[in-house]
Amino acid sequence: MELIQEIIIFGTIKGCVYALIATGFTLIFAVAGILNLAHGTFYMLGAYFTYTLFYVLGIPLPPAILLAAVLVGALGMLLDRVFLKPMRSSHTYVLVLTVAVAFAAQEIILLTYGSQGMNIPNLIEGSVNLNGVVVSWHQLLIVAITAVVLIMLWLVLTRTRYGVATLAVSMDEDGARLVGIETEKVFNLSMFASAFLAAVAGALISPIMSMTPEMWNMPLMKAFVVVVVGGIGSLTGSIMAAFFLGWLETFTGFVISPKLTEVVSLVLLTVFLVFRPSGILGRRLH
Amino acid sequence: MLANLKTPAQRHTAIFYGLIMVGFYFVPVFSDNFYLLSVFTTAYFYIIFATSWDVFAGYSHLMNFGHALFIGIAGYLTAFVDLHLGLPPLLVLPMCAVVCGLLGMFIGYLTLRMQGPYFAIITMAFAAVAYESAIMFSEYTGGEEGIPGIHPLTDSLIGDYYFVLVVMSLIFLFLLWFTRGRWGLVLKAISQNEDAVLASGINTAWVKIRAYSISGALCGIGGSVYAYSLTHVGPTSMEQVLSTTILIMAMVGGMGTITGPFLGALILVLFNELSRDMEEYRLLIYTVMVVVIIFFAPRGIVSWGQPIARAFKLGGKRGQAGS
Repeated sequence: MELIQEIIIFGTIKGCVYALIATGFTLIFAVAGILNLAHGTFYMLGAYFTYTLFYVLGIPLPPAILLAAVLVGALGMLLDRVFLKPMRSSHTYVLVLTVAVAFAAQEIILLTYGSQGMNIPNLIEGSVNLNGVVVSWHQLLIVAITAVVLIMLWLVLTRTRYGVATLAVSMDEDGARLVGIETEKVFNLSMFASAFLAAVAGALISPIMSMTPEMWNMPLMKAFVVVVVGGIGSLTGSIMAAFFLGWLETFTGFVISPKLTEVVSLVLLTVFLVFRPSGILGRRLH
Repeated sequence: MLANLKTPAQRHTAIFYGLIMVGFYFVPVFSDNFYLLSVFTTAYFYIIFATSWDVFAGYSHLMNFGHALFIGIAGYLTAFVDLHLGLPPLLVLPMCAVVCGLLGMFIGYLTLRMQGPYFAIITMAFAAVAYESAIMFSEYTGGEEGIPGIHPLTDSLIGDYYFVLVVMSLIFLFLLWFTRGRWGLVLKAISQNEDAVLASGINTAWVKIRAYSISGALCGIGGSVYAYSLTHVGPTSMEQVLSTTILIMAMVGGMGTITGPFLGALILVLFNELSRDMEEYRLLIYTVMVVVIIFFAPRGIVSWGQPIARAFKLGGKRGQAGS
């Protein structure tokens, strides 16, 4: 019984981080058709910016995380304006450009901070015993923050003018432009939201996993898997798939072998591509 | 291939690459400097990787972000077969080609049936997971250290040099023949308008899958020779950095031309050697280079061939597109 509890609790924590990363990734793809390979970079920068703001500038942790996420969001907007805007029509160049940005960022981080792993402290120290399973307060806070952030995202998307415009653009870009929506602005703000979400995930995970200049790679892969499993372009699907992957990985790690956790996502991806390429909630593809 | 030598520009292109190739064969005649030969051998490996990348991704414009997967798989396979079964290289190379070809077919079957960005995602994911697995399952793969002690191809450095060069030449010639014919045409057409190709009765998915499989098989041969040449294989042979370097070489040279990635790989490897003291900035320089190329010369450096030839009064008249 304890095992099942552990799997559910730790899988949920993992799923929260995946959900934060994958929703941003899906959002910008659904809205602007950008498959952003620099998405993992936003995640990484979220962690490193928080570290710098906290240790170098001495800003307390909660505002440091928020400020770092806003800064990363602004960088995302800059990336969109300067590099992606002229090339948006070509999938090929968007892919190559974003991967180039990802590697350039990795190199800059490596040259600035070195390759050794770094951590920031927990938001709240201490741990709590949940019915026999010891969980740190920080991990529980991750769940809470994810819930708040995702609910806020949902409210913004369904209750505000910006959100409705975003949904309109994701359904039909030309149609949205015809009724007077400034698509460029929508792309830009979506990029901000996307980068913001990834940065929050990066900052929240860095007390648990140390940050390194290569940390952007695996989360990007997980975001891919989550997006394909959830259905490309479906936010709800992504969130469901994120938790599914989190639980499945934790289950595999606890029950079968910790070595297999990284392989789980690939197996899941393969199974979905063979039997249900449109994902859990995706539109049917041809 | 001869059919492609009609215009002066095309003949000049052929002479240009012919001379480079012949020049390669004479390098050991002038110098048997260990360092020089190993630089050239490295260049030949990257030429194999970049041109085999190009035959699918460059022609179809479906970005392959995990080409190093084939290098790694072929390398580990070579190590296992060489150390446990002791088969000779001439048997191992075709074996690697077949295995990587089948792997390419499998990944292609998963992704190339559907339109959309699946292919780019999945090539990257497969390579990343293979890399992670190579580190994780250290009892079979030696973990981060990899597997040392693969038997060398030949006894001497010069022998190795010629072995790699011959493999590279054969692959390069095969790719030229392959892409200058019907295959290259169909793949290029698919990149421009897949529906139109489909409407003319060509099974585009199958064409793409086969081309990707060939791309993988050739890279597998390269990866196997690479492992033999280094006498070692490790997870770095599947790194994302390597896949991206290959892609950047092909893009800088000019995608969808085979000759472009050939030049791109050659130039970037030589550049790399000349800028050894800037080692740590290398990736940064590469990435800046690819951004510059995308914005200012999206067809790569081979597209400069015509203007340069004209400047030297070599090429044909304006408008004769040679590749």
